[in-house]
Amino acid sequence: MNDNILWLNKLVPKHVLLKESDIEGKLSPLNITRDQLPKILLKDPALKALDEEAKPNDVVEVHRFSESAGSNLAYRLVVEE
Amino acid sequence: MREMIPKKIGRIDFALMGPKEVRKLSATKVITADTYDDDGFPIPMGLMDLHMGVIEPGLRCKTSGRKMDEDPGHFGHIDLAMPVIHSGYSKTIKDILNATHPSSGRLMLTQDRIDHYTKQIRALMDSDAGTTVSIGGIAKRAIREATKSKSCPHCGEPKVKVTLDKPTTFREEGRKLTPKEVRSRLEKVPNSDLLCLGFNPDITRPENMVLTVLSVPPVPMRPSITLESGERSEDDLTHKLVDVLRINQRLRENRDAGAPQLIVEDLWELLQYHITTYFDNQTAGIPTARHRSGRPLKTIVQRLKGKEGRFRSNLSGKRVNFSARTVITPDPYLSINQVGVPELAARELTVPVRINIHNLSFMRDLIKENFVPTDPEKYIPGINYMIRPDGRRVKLTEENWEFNHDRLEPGFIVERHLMDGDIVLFNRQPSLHRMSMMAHEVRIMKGKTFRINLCVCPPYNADFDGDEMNLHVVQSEEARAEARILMRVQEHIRSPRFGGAVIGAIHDHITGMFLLTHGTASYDIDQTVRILSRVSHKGGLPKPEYPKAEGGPRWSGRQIFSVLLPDDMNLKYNASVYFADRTPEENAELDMIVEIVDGNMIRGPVDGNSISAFKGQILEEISRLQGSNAARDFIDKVTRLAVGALMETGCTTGIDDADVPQDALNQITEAQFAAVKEVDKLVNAYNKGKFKPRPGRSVEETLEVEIMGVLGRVRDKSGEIAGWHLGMDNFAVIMARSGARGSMLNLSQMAGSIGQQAVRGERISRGYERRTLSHFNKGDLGADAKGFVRSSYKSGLSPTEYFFHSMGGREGLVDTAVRTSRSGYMQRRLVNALEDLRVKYDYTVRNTANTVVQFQYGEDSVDPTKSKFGRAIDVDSLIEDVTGGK
Repeated sequence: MNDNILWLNKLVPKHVLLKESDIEGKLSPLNITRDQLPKILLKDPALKALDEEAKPNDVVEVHRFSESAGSNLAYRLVVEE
Repeated sequence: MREMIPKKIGRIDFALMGPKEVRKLSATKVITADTYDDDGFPIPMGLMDLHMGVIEPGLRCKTSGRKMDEDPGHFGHIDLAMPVIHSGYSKTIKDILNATHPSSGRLMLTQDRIDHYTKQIRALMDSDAGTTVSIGGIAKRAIREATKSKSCPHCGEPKVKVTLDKPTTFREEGRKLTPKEVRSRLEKVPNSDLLCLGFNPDITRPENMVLTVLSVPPVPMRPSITLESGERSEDDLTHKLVDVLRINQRLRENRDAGAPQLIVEDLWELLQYHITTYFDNQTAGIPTARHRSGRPLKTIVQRLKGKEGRFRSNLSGKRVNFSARTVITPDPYLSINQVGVPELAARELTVPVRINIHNLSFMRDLIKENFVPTDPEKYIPGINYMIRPDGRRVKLTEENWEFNHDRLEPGFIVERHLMDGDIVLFNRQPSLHRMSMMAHEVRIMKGKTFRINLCVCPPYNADFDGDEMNLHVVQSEEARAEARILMRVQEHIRSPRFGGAVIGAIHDHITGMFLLTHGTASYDIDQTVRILSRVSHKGGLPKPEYPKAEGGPRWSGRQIFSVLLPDDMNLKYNASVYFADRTPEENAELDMIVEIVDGNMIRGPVDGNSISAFKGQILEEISRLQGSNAARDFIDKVTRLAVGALMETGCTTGIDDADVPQDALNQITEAQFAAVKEVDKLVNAYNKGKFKPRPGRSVEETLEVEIMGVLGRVRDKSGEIAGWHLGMDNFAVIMARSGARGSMLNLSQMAGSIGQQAVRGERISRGYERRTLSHFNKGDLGADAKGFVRSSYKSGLSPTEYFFHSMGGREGLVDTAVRTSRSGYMQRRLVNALEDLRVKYDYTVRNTANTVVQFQYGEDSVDPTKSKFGRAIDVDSLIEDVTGGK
């Protein structure tokens, strides 16, 4: 994670761009195919603040804070619009 | 019995109909604006032409040959003399005019971009996976991009901007475009560019947004009604179509006669107006069309839109059979799972029962008993109809019952009256949460009202000041099973909202239990047996706590209550009557701490903190750990026990419960006097400009805050003084402190002082110029002039105080009115957004397109109804269990 000012805000969860080879391993235990994922816009500030450049059809892992479970992993499919 | 599927719908395309389709669909052309001739017979090619369906009995439809009520009718059409814009599409038309070039009709994008967008849309059309990206969205982007270009990339000519004067006038550099011109421009757009614009050229084309033919709805869709006077009154749609036809006719005549351009244009615009209002009579920017009487006409959009429209009122809002509605009244001896149903209703509501060898003789007995009753006083369910295996329904009557009684055999279905133990759904509007509709077991009762247990009032938000509730009888075996397993009241004791009980003892139950168990309350053998008989207690009496008491052995109330507790229960907590402002030791001394050891109550009273909904600890423990059956049993029994205890002690309150000694009143007056003086001092300091503002506040705000603080403190103080003199021998105090009803604040307002009145959270400040009422000096900032009420409810208010109190009271009323309407709309939007989400077996939350909304339900997969206030595990009590409380 870089030192982009965005990540300093405690309300912004950590985003991790998944490698193409990792995606299958992350999604198949959840029984989810890529087209069933929630979407994230390519122009989303969180994607722009990543080290790597995201492109459409990539998958991001979001490390969210959770009121009920402490922490929680969510996945988003990058879409152009 | 599986029904045959005659035809299956593979796909539905929603599209615009062009003139060709409208004519093809049409049963007749309409040319005359008249409806009926002098004999009351529909005029051929008029608006009520028999080709379009019939509404008079005896006549037959000329298209399908069917009679009235059999024939849904057929569309007709009107050929328009001049084309007219469809007002619902004027925005789309504007977008397309601006995105295409007027002379060539090409979309103003390079061929590359056109291909790019076309490809995207084609891909979407071919895929059938659920998606959140719409074809319309892509088309919108293409249009936006094309609109931005300064000139046409195909012919190189500059473009001219078209503006829209709502609702239907298009202008190009100030010059009006006639609908004819608009249509011819739209016609020029080549098929190859249409996909990018969101049109599928195989199905429709943009020029269809400019009407040349108007479809006329079937007659049964706009029936005329005959008034008592014999006068015919036409439907609003027919009225509007008459207008259209008339103007259309005049326009055609004038045009053909070569009338001046001005007149033709005026008529053309009038035709546009009539057709626009025919679709939507609330179009912004044009006057609404009105009936002769001045009532606005209800045209097509008005029929569909809004709460009273076709969708919300007729399609989403279904009406059902097998339901009943009447006033509710309380019955503390019913279980929370039950509902008392009046005989009158029970004889109308039926359950279909299939006859088999096991229930045959029972059903025969029911039939016989109903026509030849052995005990006319007793309710015996009867049978209204029997359905033979061939599907024929036979009504049982005095004449035929004997014959049908003998003929009944397995395979028949009978419609049996409601009887004890049947499961029904019970509901009170507004249905704001799932507890608003729960399943109850039927108890047939005398009288004409539905009877419910008082503990289910809070989930339904019901009271007995005339509330009515609805009852639905479920008809299938599956529905009954679902209702019993998922919807029964006992399954809703714990709320999914916060993981605690929402159904528990209320009001008198709490007072009763407190009176039974507080202090050293004890009962002789007669009383003990009488109280315990209420809960049908089996097994002997416990050992009396006071065996040597005068007049025989006596049992403590705690012993009686302990009969209901599970043997392994161990709890310790503060009672509701606990004094928060005293030490635990003092409270223990006063018996304000509850302790339960191995299912026996050792000390403390049973009050709101033990058995009420939301905060009852014993109820919480039982409902969470022992399941819904035990919880229901506990609530049923606790409430009966409480009623039994109240019968022994009694409980009454009146105005003398707010009596305090004179010297207490003097103390209160003194405290108030001091406070008012303090306020005056603050005001003086302010007037002299010596007041220092607090950080972030102006001087005035600081003054207000300080004054509010002083007056708030004196309210608390007078409450305290009153409270000191209102002891636990006072039933009003018992009710307030035990958590049954009312609060100590209510009591101190009756006995001591009402305190500061507020509007919008501030002292009352509005009214006359620089003062609230003409009784005060201008600029008076003192306590009395700004809404401080010294009096108590009992002593009565002075006129100015009364006025201030009314101001504060009105704000409360307005707030509730505003809140309900606003939260109702908020609820509606939320429900519409969330209604089809569900938790799948893998704990993901998905919508109907099967896309994931939440990867794990609640992020922790915890069912809140089974949690302790949202936490899956209650660590504290686990540790206590393991260590044995050390």
